[in-house]
Amino acid sequence: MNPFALSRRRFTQGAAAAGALLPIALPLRRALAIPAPVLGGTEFALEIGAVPLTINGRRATATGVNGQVPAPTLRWREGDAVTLAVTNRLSEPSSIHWHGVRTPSPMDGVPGLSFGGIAPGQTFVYRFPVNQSGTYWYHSHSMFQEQTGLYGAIVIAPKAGYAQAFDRDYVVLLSDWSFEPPETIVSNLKFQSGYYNYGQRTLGTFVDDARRAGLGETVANRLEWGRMRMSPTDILDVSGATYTYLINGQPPGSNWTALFHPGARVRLRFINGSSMSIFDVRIDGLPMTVVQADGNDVVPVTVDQFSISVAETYDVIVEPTAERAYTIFAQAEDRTGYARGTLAPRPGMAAAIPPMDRRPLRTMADMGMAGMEHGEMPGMELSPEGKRLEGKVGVDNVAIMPAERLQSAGEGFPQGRRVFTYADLRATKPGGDPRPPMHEITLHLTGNMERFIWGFDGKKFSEAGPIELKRGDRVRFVLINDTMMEHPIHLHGLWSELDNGHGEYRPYKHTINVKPGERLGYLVTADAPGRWAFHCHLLYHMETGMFREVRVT
Amino acid sequence: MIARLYRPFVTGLLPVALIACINSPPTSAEPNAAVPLGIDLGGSGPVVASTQPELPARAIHTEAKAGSPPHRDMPLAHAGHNDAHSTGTVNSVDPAQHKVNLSHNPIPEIGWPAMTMEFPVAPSIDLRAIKPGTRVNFTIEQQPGGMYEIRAIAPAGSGR
Repeated sequence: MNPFALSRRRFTQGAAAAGALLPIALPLRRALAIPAPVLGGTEFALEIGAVPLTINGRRATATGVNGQVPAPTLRWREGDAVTLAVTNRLSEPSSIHWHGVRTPSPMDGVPGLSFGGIAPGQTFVYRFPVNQSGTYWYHSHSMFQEQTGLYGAIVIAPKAGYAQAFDRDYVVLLSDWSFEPPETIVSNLKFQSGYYNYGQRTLGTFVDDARRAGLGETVANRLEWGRMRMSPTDILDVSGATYTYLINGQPPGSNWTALFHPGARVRLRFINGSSMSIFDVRIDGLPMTVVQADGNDVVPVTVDQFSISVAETYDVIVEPTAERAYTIFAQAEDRTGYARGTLAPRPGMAAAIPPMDRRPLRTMADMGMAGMEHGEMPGMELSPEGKRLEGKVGVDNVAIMPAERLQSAGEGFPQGRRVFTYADLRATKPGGDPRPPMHEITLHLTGNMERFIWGFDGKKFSEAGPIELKRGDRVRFVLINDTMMEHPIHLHGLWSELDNGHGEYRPYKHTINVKPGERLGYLVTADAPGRWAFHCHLLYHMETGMFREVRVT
Repeated sequence: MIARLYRPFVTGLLPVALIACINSPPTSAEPNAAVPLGIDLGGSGPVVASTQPELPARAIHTEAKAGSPPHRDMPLAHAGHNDAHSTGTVNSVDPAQHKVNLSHNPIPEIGWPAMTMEFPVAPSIDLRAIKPGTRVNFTIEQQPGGMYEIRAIAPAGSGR
């Protein structure tokens, strides 16, 4: 018998395929509003299609998989080969990219680079060996389907067993939902980059600042920001003005709940499947021990809060001992909203939802001018490459003094809270390639905020050739963020080993968040041939040009 | 709302506004600022609809400059095995789209398990000869975009 029915049409036609288990359960699941189901094994039939969705009582059409938003959680085992037959039931081309999973290039799911995409009605069969373990996710790499719901979790069980014991295991998938079509969001940002920024400085805050800092200083400060065509309240481009933040597809009011027995160790696999939103995550009253980042084990560090940029994953273990509920609180970095869920011994419980923290304000350090006072600009020398970039249409600022900011926890929260930083990431074992880098590739992350153009070195994807690497090369990427937005930079197909002061215990990451004004480096071994995407994982930054091809031959 | 009305002042009162007038590019849409259309080179930005939607990987690859190594073909997952053979049962035929839906046996050459799926069929094949319920031998070949297409299909001898 056929263990693996692919086509829902076949099922509805009443065909005798035995694998109809999957489609049968769909209507029931929706009716019961149970979170995304888990699919396990080595063979998967995934159908991309339009899905009716109700969020906060409002109906919308999302893009989902097998009728689900988020898409079903896929559970794989390290050492297996998996086959995923993906059928596109949309009226536009689609694709699925397995984020952080090291597949052969043709299985990576980027239309135009790894394959031709999946045309409407077509089935593409992905097949690849799984040679890693950890928490990952998958999403569409076509147009804006990721924003409209096409994302799901991947959990790969390690062959050798888990480094850390735990009793319960939950995926906590964060995302941002908008009832506005993504095309409208982009067009609003193009028209006015601060469209979703309702916290801009006004005449009122000018008067306040002048009273505090003096009129001259305040005018100079505004003058400086004005000259840079930027606004210091721009923390995230798209805000809670349009977004509802979700945990496993549930808005704050629906209170997604994970159950525990007091005293048990609970593993929470946080995945940021947002298009544009960076979150500060905490569980008041419950310290979290970070045990894994981007699918790779790290030396455990216990904190009160961590920041999770778009496309990153963090696994934490918590040990709630009290017979009470705890709020999982993920506030957007710009404090315009939050995702919320609950850890509780029984369903139906809830704890207090904390107020949001103070809204952070970008500082001159974010501009790559750490340590400088306003009015101290004369005499500053740009590097030659800075001079080369300055004056390009796509470049509205060049960081004069980019700084190492790995230990920066961000801002906008009270002193005394222990906050995880990139400096805390330490691999549990030395890296696989002890060679020093043969050469360095320096890239500036650039943008023109007011026109909402983004790129590397002032060039959009359409204007730039690929970054060529020879197979087996060991190289160091240096990224300098000339913009005042954060950029989670994702390199497909190859690991990015962050240089964060831990020597050969560099953490292996697939997505590295670069703060404004920051300069950071990471090592890459070009051990997988192919054409790999390299881009900012903020969807609208990628779509407006912050994308390159890395070609390994 | 009010904040937005104030926007000209946000950057800091009149002197700044003047400077902004001198320095800032117009905030209206730039000439090519179309929202990305159907193309999907993974985010090439505001591209106007191009005549080359979704270039097949191999076609792009041949642009590699002359000095590059002779390793020209994409390392497709099953390099050297661009076609594969199997047996299956026809579930349905879609003449309009020139497709068939098959329940096929495992295809070890490309590592596929038994599946039920739709395949596009090469234009040269006459689908009228293929009827639902027929057991068939068929050959599929991988296309440049990664998809498999049926290149040959014929009723299986025994007709069970």
